[in-house]
Amino acid sequence: MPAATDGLGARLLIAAALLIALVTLVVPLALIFASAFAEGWAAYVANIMQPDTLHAVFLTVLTAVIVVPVNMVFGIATAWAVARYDFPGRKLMISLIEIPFSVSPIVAGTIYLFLYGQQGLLGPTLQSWGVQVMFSVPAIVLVSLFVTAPFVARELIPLMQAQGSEDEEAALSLGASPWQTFRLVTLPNIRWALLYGAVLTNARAMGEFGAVSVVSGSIRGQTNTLPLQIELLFNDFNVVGAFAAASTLALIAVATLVLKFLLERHAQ
Amino acid sequence: MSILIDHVSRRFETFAAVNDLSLEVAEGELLALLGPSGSGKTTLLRLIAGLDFPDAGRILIGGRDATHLSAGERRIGFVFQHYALFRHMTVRQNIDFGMRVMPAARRPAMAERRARVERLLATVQLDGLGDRFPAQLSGGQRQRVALARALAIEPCVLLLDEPFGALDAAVRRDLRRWLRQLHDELPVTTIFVTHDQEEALEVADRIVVMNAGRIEQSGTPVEVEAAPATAFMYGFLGGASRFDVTVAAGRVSLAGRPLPPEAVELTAGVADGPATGFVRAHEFRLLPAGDPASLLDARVSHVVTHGGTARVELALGAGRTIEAELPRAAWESLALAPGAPVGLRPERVAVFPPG
Ligand SMILES: Nc1ncnc2c1ncn2[C@@H]1O[C@H](COP(=O)(O)OP(=O)(O)O)[C@@H](O)[C@H]1O
Ligand SMILES: [Mg+2]
Repeated sequence: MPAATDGLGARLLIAAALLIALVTLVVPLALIFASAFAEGWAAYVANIMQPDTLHAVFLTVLTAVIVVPVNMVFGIATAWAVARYDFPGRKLMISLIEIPFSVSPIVAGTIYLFLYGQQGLLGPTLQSWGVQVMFSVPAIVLVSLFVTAPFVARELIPLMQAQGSEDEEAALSLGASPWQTFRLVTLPNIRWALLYGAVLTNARAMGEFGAVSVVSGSIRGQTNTLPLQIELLFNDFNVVGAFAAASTLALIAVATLVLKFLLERHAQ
Repeated sequence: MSILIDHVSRRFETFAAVNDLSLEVAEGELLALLGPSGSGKTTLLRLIAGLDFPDAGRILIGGRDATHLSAGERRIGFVFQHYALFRHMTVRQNIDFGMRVMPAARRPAMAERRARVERLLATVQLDGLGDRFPAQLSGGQRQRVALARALAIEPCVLLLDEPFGALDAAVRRDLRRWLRQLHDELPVTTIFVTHDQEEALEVADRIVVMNAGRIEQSGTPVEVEAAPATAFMYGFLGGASRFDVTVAAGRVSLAGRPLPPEAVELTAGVADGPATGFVRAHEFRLLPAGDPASLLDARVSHVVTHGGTARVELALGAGRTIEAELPRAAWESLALAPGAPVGLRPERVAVFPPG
């Protein structure tokens, strides 16, 4: 039970919390939309429909469309291995999954630069085969995959460990093939946590700035994702354009929050 | 179908959970597997079901070598200790699952599947609950859904791991009778694990007691009850008192007094010197204090009369208490109150090597 809220101290604390939330969360969000619409609906639409911005939206969505399914598969496979089997290096693997969370995104981008860049480890070899990874769409997808790799696995591992493997063994003993067992028993058992992880992956993949900015080269209309485009517009003193682009990201964020809330409720 | 377990071992690292164990289960038999926690009962069941594989030995089902068959290929119904019902499926969908995943060539037609599910719902007395989800059922109901689900694949062998372990006493009693009846109507070879002796003695055709990955004793409930074969069995079956005895030239004495030879059962391997004797609660005779036939002096400390029997707790001195059980009428004719001295005469002492 929460304690009664009639003490003066409690009221002050609540008021302070609300005020901080207002200043740090609500006001900026409101400001984004206010600025985006500062010159009216028509200007907003015109700014969004600007080819470079539109391309940035497209590229951001494309990245998410690739990254989310790939990392769902990766997350399921990893969680399955870690939760169902005991093998040498299992503990190490659990720690390795967390690496993308523990290094700064800039570092992640730089690692890719070291690997695939002109002076990088693999760059020259790839170049000689005519493959250009850096400053192209594949680079953006690769770093996005890297920075969002842990989300699904982190949701699934504790859940699958808690659920144990009895359900799956029951399915197997009833004659189900491994694939049927996965599709009919494992997947339904983890579906809410999986979706939750996917929503988080999506939000991060769409919003990632640091790592992408290192590897994308920020070529307008080619390798600019939405967060990079916002910075670019802002540096061009196109405030309405920047905020219009930002408002789409903010909308995605709000939608993510709502989904996250609903999924969390479902998962319980 | 019959099951033959032939010198099977299963080791986890260096620890043998099942240790060179051999067992034969006849077609249609209802076998209870008893044993203390950690004795390898679940491991043995999993090996038979194909959910785990032995490091050594063979498992034959219906005369066919099944050692390397997968769980699905063995067609064995397995009822898990915690039911393992599919929580996102209704009771009907749970029961239907085994048929649903059959290869199309073997899968029964939809109408037959439906009919079989309804029949099983009736068999396990859950008519009307088919559309519920597992979370909406009581423990006893879930247990029966798990059983119906296992029966739906028409298994050749049924394995139940502590099927009534998580249920309260009254539900257990009902379900255990019901399982016996079900087996009489539908004689599938069945092994069920339990740690409750009473349950095993009441339900099973034969009981097998496991200890440390091996079989300690096997036999009909009457045989096992009448003649526990090892010191472990006396400890496990409970209610027996343990005494240090001395053996000299085939004569056994307890606390310095020789025991009458007809009351002594010497097992093989008992040598002269110290040994261990067991006397079961109902194998003590209570005598008035000072009776010349008495071999032990005790004091009544507590009595519980229940139905036709009296269970008497007796203090032997030095803080040691033992238990005796006798017909209520015999107890009442002694007219003893707590605190009164009493003489004891063991009528059967099983003697084992010291340990
Ligand atoms: N997967 C496993 N890994 C390691 N040890 C195990 C495993 N399964 C069972 N054991 C060990 O084997 C022994 C027998 O276990 P089990 O068959 O579950 O006993 P029971 O069902 O009779 O209580 C226990 O000591 C247990 O710790
Ligand atoms: Mg067990």
